[in-house]
Amino acid sequence: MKKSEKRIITILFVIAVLAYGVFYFYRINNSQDMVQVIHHFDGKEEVILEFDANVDNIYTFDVDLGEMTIEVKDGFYRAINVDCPNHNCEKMGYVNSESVLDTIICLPNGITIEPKGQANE
Amino acid sequence: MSSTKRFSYVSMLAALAILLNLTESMFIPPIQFGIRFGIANIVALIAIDRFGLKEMFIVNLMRVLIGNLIRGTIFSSIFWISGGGVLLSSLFLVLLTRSKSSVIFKSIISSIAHSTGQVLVVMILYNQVSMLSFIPVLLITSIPTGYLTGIIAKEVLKRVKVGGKI
Repeated sequence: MKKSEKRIITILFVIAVLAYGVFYFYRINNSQDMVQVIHHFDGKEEVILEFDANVDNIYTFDVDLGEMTIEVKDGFYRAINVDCPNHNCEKMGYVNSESVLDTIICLPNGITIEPKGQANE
Repeated sequence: MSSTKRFSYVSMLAALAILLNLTESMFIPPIQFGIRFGIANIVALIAIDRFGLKEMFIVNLMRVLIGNLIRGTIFSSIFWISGGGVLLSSLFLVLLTRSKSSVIFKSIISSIAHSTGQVLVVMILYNQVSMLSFIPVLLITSIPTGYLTGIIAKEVLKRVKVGGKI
């Protein structure tokens, strides 16, 4: 690698670390309790479930390829027992609105589980 | 090199890229959040160095098309996401080859472009602006993974004598 190339990589790395820091502080200052499960199909969106991340519960619902279960525990949520070929969304584990990736995406079923605002007191 | 010979070399490189792509998705688990090494990019780097831009595009296009066809995900959202990543990384490879960059640098930048392209497609397909905050994480992880594939490509290029521009 040339010297100028090393410099570009270093600059990119520094920018990435700074951007990560900015997003990190933004996330912890803007935590959201309400979570929506959205079904994406034919360019449309349909909210199939809404829950409070602070209330421990287990939700099971029908998706394109079968069933999907969401476990909510201690302010975090995760996808379990999903009927799909690759199970990437299960591998993401527990997340909440302060996580690096706050949205669980199940591509084969067209499902996103994303934070959507504060709970109404 | 005759055009037939060239054609068969490019087909073999495309087959190799598809094989590496499938092997990686089956046997090498992602580091975290679906972050992968992207070893199939080694073949793209070899194709661009030994043959040229057009050949690299063919290898990358075949990798996405046939790779997804084998997995049964063709024209699904996964197909468009991998297509977006490959398209952006190919474009950056073209730009970097024009500016005569080193193999490792090309590898790192195309690795960053690949993951950024995928995130951009997810953002468009699923209306996920929040995915933007994932780009810095991908940038940080793309540098070591791109460096690794770059070193492999460099070592392969040192030892393999096929190719040559006509």
